[in-house]
Amino acid sequence: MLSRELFWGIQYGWLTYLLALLTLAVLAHLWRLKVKEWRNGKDEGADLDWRGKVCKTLGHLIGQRLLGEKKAVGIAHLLVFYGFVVLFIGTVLLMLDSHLDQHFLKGYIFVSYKLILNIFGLLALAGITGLIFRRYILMKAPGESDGQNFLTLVLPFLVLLTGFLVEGSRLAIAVEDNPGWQFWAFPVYPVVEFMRSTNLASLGWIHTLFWWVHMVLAFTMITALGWTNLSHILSVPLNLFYQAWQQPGRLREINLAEKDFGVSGLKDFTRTQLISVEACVNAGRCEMNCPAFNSNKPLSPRALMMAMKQYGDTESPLVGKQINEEALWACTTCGACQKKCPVLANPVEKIIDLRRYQVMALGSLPPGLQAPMLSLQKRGHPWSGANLSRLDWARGLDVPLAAKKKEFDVLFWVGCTGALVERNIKVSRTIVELLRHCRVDFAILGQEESCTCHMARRLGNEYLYQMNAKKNIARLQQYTFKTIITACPHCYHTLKNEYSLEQEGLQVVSHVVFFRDLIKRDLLQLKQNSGKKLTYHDPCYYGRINQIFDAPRELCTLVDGSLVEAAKSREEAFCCGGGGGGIWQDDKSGDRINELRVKQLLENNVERIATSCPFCMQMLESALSSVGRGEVVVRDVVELLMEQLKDR
Amino acid sequence: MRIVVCIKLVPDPEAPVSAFSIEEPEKVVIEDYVPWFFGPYDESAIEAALRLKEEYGGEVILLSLDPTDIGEKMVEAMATGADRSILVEDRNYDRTDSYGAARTLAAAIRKIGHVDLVLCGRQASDTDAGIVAPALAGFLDCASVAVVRSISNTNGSLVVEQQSGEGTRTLEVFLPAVLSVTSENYTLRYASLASIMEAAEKEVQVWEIPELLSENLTPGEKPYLRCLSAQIPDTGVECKIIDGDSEEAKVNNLFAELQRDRIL
Repeated sequence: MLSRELFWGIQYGWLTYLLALLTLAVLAHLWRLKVKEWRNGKDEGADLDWRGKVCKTLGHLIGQRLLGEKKAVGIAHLLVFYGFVVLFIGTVLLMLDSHLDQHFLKGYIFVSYKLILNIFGLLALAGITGLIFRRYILMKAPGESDGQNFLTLVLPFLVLLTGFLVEGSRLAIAVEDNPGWQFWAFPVYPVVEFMRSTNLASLGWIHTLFWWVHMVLAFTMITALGWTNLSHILSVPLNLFYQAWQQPGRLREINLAEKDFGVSGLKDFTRTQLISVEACVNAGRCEMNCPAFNSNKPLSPRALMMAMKQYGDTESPLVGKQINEEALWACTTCGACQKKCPVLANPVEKIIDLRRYQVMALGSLPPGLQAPMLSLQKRGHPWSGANLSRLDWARGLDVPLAAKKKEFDVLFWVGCTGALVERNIKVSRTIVELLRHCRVDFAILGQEESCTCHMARRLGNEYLYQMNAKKNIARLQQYTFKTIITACPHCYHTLKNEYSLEQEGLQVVSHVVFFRDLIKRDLLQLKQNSGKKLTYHDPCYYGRINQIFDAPRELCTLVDGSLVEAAKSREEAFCCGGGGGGIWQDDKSGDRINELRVKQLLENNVERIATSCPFCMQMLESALSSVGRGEVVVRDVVELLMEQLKDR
Repeated sequence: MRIVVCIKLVPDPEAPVSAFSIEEPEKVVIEDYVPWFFGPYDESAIEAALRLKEEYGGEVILLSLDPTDIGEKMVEAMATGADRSILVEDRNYDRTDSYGAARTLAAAIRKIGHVDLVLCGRQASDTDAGIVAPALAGFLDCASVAVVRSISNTNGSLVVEQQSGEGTRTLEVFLPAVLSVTSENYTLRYASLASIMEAAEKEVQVWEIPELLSENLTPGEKPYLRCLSAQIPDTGVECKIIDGDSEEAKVNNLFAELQRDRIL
């Protein structure tokens, strides 16, 4: 009966166990250093639901969905991944089999076992060869010291290759003992035939040589999990576990009373944050859709993460030394990097934590951001120079105030921008008219509204955010209503996800979804569509971060029959550059993000651009004017509805 | 050098017109939602004091008159780097005019003891009067320069640049002196949360008028000025279309208009 003999043809096979121990010791030592650094980080407290996290992590690992961005690479990695998983299981089975009295690897079981290992070994070899080909031939790998990456690819390749050579040389010697080998060991057919044709008497020590080379390479590869990018094999699943419920746009909650002002040096990060820094594999997919990187600003999320990963000093401040200050403030918090990252490293969260320390501990802010920040502190909104109250926008509309009505169905959260910036006031007025038209029982807070502080939070001023959040929530609790609607995605995101209003039984609804629903319920009727060519720009905080894609498009299609999708839209939408304080900053270096975006939107020769965010509105209009295409108009989706309203 | 900076809480200078209304002939009523904070020129005075302290050493004391609870705002102001602050509770504050305020401030400054320099903002952002600084100098019997855009110390005396509509002039001022500061060169530094938390531990002394009275110092109670009436001006918008035969002619006409209006 066909079976497998451990250490066939090898003397001193027991040395393997010694090598194994040595390997594990080295690996353990290398990882102990890493783990020690992690333990320096802040403790976040116990987190329940590890079962759910394990399931989610396994889901990521099995499906490899996070790598799906680049199809070919994803497939190649899948082959390598599963190849090694199967080969690893195979090795474990072999060890069990050789040490148990009852050998189970015999007969048909043995044949299936061998066949599966050979198939997966071959697939893995194909995969790794593909990756090597891609890196060194197609991409012409970077000239700078590529040592680590080289080993990361070449070690597995050699391990697989020598593995097949060992099998081939063994079979070449013992062909008679292994009937049917051409079937279950088909990948090594050429090797066996070649070796038998040479008829060397020295096949024996060739086999021995390959065997020991394979063994040493395999163990070296295992230690390489400590000192090359192969460490991702351990760090990524660990990070996936801790980031199992990572939500786009979510920031770390901090306790200011405990003087947690954010992050200065690596030791100020939490342990799970440090693990996510370790998990960064320098893939660079975060750069693909980053508005700052693609407009030649000094920010690259990848470089930022790697700078932190490679910094040995856990005490010294990162900003100014390892991390460029201009880079830190160039982030628009659009979340594109977070979406594309194959290991869930989450650069945005780290950037905000670093900003927090700059602002709250050091008082260091880029000059362009001082005015909005001080204005927020002093008068509760960032629009210094507006010279308007929070009700002036509604003059003549007789808008019902929550303080008078006390009970109503819908609260229209106007937001600072919707109340104080001229262009955006038009949208707020349009919404009031539409609400009236549909006989919605609504009210506004008026002067009682305070900034949600979404922007303040992303500029690092957690204190302002917490103070205003408390104020706003207390205010909202005074009135009885079921739904909040808002026309600002930034307010929407913070009201819905950060104020936890849904826990109070309140529903937070975006204005696009709200009006789409009104149309569905036939409370709003539109005329025949205008036939003008239109494209829709997804605001980051409605689209990518809160997954509101379809409602605005449905509205646009109703209004304008010909809605054209921009090249980068939906999840791929390119940020307008207004978020994260971008709207107040002068672009010191590089191109203007909003101009880049507008050029993308204009590629389809559209007459109109629709959007649903007051910041996008300002950025896009400004860009159209500066690129000389002022004849193209930008409209909020509700403004389009208004134009096409029946029975006005 | 011991520097006292006199600061005053004013309603948000950017408060819209709709926030104001007039009750009776002269009472100005401001909506509740309008925040109050130290005016921009007062902030420039603080910044000027801090820079002098950084360069030449000494102590910066913030001084204010206000019966209401402005402790929190004082802490935020101190967070920028001042050493301590003093609040004088004047129960007649509502009816106090610039001269009365200057008189009370002078009494407080005399109680502080030896003071080298007093800085004020060039004008308060609500009254825009600009009287307190020179009046203070009168009560304290010392030199005074108004609308100063830069200050430096040269062995014992100060060299200041005074700003006017036509330009600047440089003066040497002998201490003690009262200067009012303008904002061209002085923007108050941003105070981090950490420094605000630290400043909360610092001293905010509260003095009452009777205290000042009892030390033979005489803050005034009689008003020097009384407001008879207040009005909110009508602001209209007039739009003039500049015409011309050609683009160049239009530009020339616009230029001429602006010159006529003395804007250019």
